[in-house]
Amino acid sequence: MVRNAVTPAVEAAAPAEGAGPGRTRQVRRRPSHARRAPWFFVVPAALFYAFIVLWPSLQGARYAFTNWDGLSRASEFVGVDQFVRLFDDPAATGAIWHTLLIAAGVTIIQNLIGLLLALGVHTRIKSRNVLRVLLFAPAIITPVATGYLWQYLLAPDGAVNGLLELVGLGAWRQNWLGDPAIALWCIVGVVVWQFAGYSMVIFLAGLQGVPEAVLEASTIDGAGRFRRFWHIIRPELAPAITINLMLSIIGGLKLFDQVWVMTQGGPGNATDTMSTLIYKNAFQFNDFGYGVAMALVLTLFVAVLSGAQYKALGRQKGAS
Amino acid sequence: MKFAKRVLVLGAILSLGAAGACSSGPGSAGGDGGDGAVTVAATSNEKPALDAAVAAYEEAHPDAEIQVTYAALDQYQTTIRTQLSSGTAPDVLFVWPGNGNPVAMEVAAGAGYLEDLSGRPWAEQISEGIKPVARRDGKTWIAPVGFSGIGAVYNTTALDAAGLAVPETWTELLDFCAAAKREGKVAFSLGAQTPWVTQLTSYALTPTLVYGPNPEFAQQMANGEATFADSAWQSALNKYVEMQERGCFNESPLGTSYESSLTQVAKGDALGVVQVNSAVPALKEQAGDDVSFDLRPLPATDDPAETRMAGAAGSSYGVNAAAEHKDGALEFVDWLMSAEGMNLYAETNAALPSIPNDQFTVDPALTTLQRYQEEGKTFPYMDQQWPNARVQQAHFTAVQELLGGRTTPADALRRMDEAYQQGA
Repeated sequence: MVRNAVTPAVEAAAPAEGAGPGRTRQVRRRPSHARRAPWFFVVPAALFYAFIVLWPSLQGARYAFTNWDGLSRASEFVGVDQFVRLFDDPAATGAIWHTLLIAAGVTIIQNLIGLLLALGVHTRIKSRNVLRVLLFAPAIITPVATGYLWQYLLAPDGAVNGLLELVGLGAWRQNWLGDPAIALWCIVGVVVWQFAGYSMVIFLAGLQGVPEAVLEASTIDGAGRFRRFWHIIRPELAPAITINLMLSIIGGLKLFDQVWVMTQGGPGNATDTMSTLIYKNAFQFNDFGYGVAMALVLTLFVAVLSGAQYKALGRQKGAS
Repeated sequence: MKFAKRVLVLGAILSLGAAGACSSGPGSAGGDGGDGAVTVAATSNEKPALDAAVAAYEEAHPDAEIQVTYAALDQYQTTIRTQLSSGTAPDVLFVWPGNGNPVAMEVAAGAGYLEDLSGRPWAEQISEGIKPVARRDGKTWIAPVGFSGIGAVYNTTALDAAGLAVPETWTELLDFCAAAKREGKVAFSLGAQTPWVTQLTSYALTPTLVYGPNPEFAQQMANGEATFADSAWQSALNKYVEMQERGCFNESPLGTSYESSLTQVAKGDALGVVQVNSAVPALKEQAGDDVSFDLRPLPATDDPAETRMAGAAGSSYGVNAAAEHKDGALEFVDWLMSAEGMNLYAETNAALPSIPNDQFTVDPALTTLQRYQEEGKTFPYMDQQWPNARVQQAHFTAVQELLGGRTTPADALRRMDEAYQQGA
C-alpha cells in the first residue's frame, strides 16, 4: 500500500526494482570506459563557451582596473583603486550586507518551506497533483511581473493591508515597502513566495529516490516520523539539498529584478543590493569601472560561497 | 589521432564562425536604417509626440523617411551609450539637457558624440533660460523641442467641491493642508516610493528660495564658491519636512508609487500632486473629461511676487556626430525646431514649445507655466546643472530618508555636497 503513495510519474522516474545489483556492476565498469572517451569531443563546446562567455567576460573585467565612464573614448589605468574605493564606500558595504542578508534569508526560508511543501505533497492526498501545479506556478512568472504584482499588493492601501483590516488585524498594517526596517524582508518574502515551489519540485525528485522498503521496515521497527526523516529521507535527499541550496544562494546573491521593480534599492539605500548598485554605477552614474569592480567582487562572492557550500555538503553526504 | 585532429579543426571553425556571427556587423537596434532612412532613437515617453511629428514631417517631405526606435528610459540609457561608443548609434538621438544624466548633453557632447548645431537657424532663438543647458563651450549641441515645468497640479474639480482655493503663499499652503485634512482629503499626494518623484517638491521650492534670490547660485556652485549645506537649500528641505509634519502629504508616501499618487488625484481623494507637466495628460486620461486640472507654482514664501517655477528644456534631440545620414538628420531636427514642429510636439505631449510663438494653442492647465516662461520667472531643473548623476541619486536617497525620519536636512545636504564635489 505504501508504494501506492508514489504517483505514476514518480514510478516512471524511480529506478526499477530488481535492477539494483546489475546496475551497480554497470556503474562500476563505467569509469574505466569513460577514461578512454576521446577528449576532443569537448573541444567544440569548450571553444564556443570560451568565445561567447570567457573572452567577453575577461574583456569586460579589465575595465575594473580603469576609470572608464562607459561613454568616453579614453580611460586611464587606475590599478586596484576601484576595489579599495569599494570597501571605503558605505553604500557598497551596505549593499554587500543587504546582499548577504537576502541570500541567507532566501536560502534558509525558501528551502525550509520547499522541503515542507515537498513532504506535504509527497503523500496520497487526492489533490496532490493540483497542489503541485499550484505551488510551482509562481516560479514560471517572470520576476519583473512578480515584483510589480507585489508592489501593488504591498502598497499602503493595497490588498495585504486590506486583508489584515478585514480579519480584524488592522493593528498589523504596515508600510511594507516604505519602512526601511522591513522592506528588505518583504523582498525576501516575495522571492520565497515565487521560488519555494521550485525548490519543492527538486525535493520531490529527491524524495522519489527514497527506498520505500526501508521506510516500511523502519516504520515496522517503530521509528517515528522525525527519525524516519532524519535517518532515512535526509541522507537520500543530500543531492537535492545541495542543488537547492546552491541555486537559492546564487539566486539570492545576484538578486536584481524584484528589488529594482519593488524599491529600486530604497527607501534610502535600505534595500540596495550589489546587483542594483552595479547597475546604478555602471549605467546611471557614468562610473563603469567602479561598477565592473563591484561585479567582479560579486562573482568572487558567488564562486567562494557556492564552492564552500558544495564542499561542505559533499563532505556531509560522504559522512552519511 | 587523424580523426581527432579533424574534429578539433572542425570544432574550432564552427565555434569561431558562430562567435563571429554573434559579434559582427553594426547593431540592428536602431544603428542602421538602410535605404537612406534617417534613424532616430528616443525614450518611450516621447512616443506619442514623436510619432505625430514624424508623420507630419513625412507628409510634408514625401522623399524623406524617418525610422524611430523607442526604449524604456533605463533601457534607453544603457543602449544608447553602448551604441555611441561602438559607432552604431542612430542619426538623431534623444538627449537630456544640461548634465547630471548618463545621456545628458554635457556627457555626450563632452565625449565628442554630438554634432555642433550652433549654425542652425533656430540656435540663436533659444531663450536665455534654456541656453545654459543646451550649450557647452559656447556651442549649441541639442535642439530643445519642448519646455516643461514643475509645480503643483491641482484637481480643480475636487478643489471646487471642497470649497478650497489654490494657495498663493507659504502660510496659505499650510492652511490649505489643514483644510484639506478637515475635508477628509489629502492636500498633496506624494509617491516617494518612486525615486525620481522624491526630488519634485525640492525642485518646486528651490526656484523661489534659492535660485530666485540668487540667480548665480548654480554657477557659484560650479566655481566652488557655494555649497548646498550653506545655502537656502537648507530652508527648502526644512519646508519639505514641515509639509510632511503638517500633514500635507498622504500617509506612507514611501510606500506609495508614482502611479498610485496620480490615481489619488485623478479620483479626487487628493487635491493636488507636485509633478512635471507631463502628469497632466496622464491625470486627464485617468479622470475623464469632466475633471479639470491646473499646474500652478508651489509657494515657498509669503510674498507671491517672489514665487518662481522650475521650468526647463524638456524633450531635446542631438545629432550623432558620426551620423550616416547627417543632412537628413539636420533637416529633420530643423523641422522639429520650427514653430510647426515644436507646436505639434508640445500639443501632443502637454508641454510648451521651447521658443514661444503666437501659433501655439496652450493647454488651459499650462497657462500659468506659459506666463512664467514668458516672464522669465523659471529656472532650469536643478540636476541639469549638476556635474554628475550621483548628486541627483544622493538627493533621492536623502529625501527618502528624510521622509522616513532617518536623517536631517543638514546631513542630507552634506551628502549632496560630497556627491557634487566628486565632479564630472
